[in-house]
Amino acid sequence: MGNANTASLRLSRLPVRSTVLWLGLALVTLTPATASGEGRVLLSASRTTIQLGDATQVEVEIEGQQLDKAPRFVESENLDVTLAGRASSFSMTNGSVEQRTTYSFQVTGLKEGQHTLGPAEAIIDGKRVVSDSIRIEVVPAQTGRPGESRLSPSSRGPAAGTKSQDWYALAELSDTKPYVGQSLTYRLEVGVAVAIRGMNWERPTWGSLAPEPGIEPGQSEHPEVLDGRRYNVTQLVVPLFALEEGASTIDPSTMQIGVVRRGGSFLQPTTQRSFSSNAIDLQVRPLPQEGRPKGFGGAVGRFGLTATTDRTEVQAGETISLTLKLSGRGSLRSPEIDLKLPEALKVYSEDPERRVRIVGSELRSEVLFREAVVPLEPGKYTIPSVRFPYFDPEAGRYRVATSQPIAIEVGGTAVVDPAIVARSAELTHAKKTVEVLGSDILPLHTGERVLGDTRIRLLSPWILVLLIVPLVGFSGVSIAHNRKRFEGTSRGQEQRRLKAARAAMKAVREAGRDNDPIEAERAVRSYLGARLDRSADAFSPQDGAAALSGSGLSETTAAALGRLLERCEAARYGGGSTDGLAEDLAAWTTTADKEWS
Amino acid sequence: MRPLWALLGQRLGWADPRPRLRRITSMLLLLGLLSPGAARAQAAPGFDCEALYESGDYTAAIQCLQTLESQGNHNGHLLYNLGNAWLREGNTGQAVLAYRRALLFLPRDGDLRANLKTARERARDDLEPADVRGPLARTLLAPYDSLSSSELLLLGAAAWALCFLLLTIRRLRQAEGLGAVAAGLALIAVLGLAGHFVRSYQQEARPIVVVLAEEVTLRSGRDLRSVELARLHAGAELKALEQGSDWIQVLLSSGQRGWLPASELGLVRPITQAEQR
Repeated sequence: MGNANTASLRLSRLPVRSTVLWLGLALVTLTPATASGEGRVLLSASRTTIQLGDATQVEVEIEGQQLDKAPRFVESENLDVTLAGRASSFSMTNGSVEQRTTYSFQVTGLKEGQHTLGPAEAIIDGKRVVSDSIRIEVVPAQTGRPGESRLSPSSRGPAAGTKSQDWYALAELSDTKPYVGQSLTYRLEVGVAVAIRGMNWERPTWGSLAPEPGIEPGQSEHPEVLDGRRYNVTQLVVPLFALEEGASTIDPSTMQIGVVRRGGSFLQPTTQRSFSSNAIDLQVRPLPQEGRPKGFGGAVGRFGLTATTDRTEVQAGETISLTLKLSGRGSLRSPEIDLKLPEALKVYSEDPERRVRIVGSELRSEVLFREAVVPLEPGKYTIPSVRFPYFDPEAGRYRVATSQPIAIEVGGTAVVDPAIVARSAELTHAKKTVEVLGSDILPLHTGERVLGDTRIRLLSPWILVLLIVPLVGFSGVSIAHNRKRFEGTSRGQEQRRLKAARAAMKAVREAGRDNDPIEAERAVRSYLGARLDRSADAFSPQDGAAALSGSGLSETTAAALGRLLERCEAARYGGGSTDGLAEDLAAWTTTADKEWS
Repeated sequence: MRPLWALLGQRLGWADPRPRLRRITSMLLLLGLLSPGAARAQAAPGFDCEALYESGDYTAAIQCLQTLESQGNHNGHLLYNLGNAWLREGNTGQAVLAYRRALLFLPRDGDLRANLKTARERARDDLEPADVRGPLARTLLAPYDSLSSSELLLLGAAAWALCFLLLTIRRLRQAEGLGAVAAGLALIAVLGLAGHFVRSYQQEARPIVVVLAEEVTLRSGRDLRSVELARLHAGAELKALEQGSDWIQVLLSSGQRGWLPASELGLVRPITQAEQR
């Protein structure tokens, strides 16, 4: 298939009032008139090579206008043109409503040969508008070139695994000799004349092409009778763009379908079949160096640029909404425009808004650049023309889309709004954002700190010292403190006396074993002192017996102590016998201790 | 007022406690000097890794710094320098790992945080580090996060010692007013010591891991036949959930779990696995 030919014409400064009225009176009151606008009519055909008796789809698209009647084509004996339908869409830009109407025509080839379709003629607000024309080639039946024209099933590529022409697949490329950066469409037509369940498409490798970002393949279905059989025809349109120059091939697309079996079981009701389309050879051409305009950013297609404002008369400090609309055939992946305004007009830009869609076999793109323009001083200014260079693949040369200049009038006095004053100050001082030249990591750490082990573990000596020593110290002090306090109490004193008594009793026993009456007497007196809580060193025999009589001891034991002390005095002063005295003292002490306990 | 040592001597029953106290102090000082850390600091080798780095021989600088580390120099500044060398060498994964390990020692170091940010920007995966806290938790745990594990331990131990010192003085001098201060110190001691143990547990049981390989496949199980869940790249920081000898189960900040080969990961711990062994 050759290039999908299109024709376009521009309508200058057509009012949009009829459109606004169509939407309603209320919208009219809220919608300011556009300062400037331009309508466009685009003519395109899905295929320009068709078989005799076959049909192609031709679309006439009118942007920004409402037609009184459907456009008409100049009558021809070679082509039959029938209106097939109409679709409209609306969008709001700068407060004004824009309408896009697309009329679809079925064009059938009646005679073989090269024929001219058009021009299309339309009446808009009483004005007659005529578009360009396009060329349609009608080829004889059954002799078309595979991969380019719409043919009968028998010539629509291989259909593996079938005895009859139950299905076919045909792949076409909108242009087999595109330029680098040019948008084009890959169209896959799959016809199936039998009942199927499910259809899977394996994408081919695209050679030197790449899928257009931001847009999914389009899909449509319709019935069609070919060679007397009724086919369900599915069309897939994949938007692509030429990535790099050179020759390459798009591999065949492979389709997998599940054909419903007659009498098939419940578990296996279908038979899987696969078939492929034709491959497509293409040659991507480089963009010419000659005539390349300054500022060319790689856009390939056919584009127009318009500028609109929401108003042209404002007071200083108020905002004017400026919209630059770049649209046309081809892809606008990341276009840039250079808007140079007078210094008295401060501009704040929004992110561009990009829209892409497929019409027939073409890719239509639209990018809206929205700018807020704030005049700082009163006066008359002009928003200048904006240029957008691009390469036109149909003409094979570079072109420049240019917007129209817009005059604005700014009234009032100097800007009083603080924000605007601040912005004016920015202009006065010409402050700029700090330019970041690069980044680097911070330098090494040096010195003794790089060496050594700074980890501190629980079992480190210092940590153990900090954890254990204060605890032990506190415990020691607490124990000593408590002991001292306990000793001051009556119970503590009682305990101390008992302890002293036990020590004295032990001494008495030892003296008894050693037969040492002097030591035994001293120990007995110590024992008595501890038990009675008074000094017993000077006890006479009578004193001892008297002191013991009220202390809980029996009379017999108390009397025995008196006798023992008398024997001790006798031994000490009168030369009395000391035989058995020590043992007797020890025995008395044992008896007394038992009684006291 | 009688001096503290006199009161102590009186309580302990020592007539003159000064000679005994002097002996105890000398023993403690000797113990400190003989500690392993002090011994290593005095015996530091004389590698000039900085000169190698400044001359642009980053490979040699890395080897030099790794040798220093293997000789027992475990500190944040050395690991920071190692991260710089790895980053200059172009190894983002190793650089992030070294910086993250240095962060265990120097959690408040501005240079370290700046360079770690640079290293993270060079990592390919748009993945938040696994241990990033929410705004509220970050505010509440700011004191905890600003201290290293060693600092938490030292703080806890010092507060513990001061607390018991105050209690001892209070016991000796019958000073009732020191009770509130001692209670505050006890709280600090508990928080510090608990923080140290929690941090140590996290580093051992659920450490952060860093992807070292250029690209590694996250799988649903511990073998190469498992389903591939995601591809991760050098510098990605993940939380380890379960550690095996060959595979480590990790948790991404996005909530996804999977297994990665242990050989392709580096554990964020104060010392390397080889040194731990």
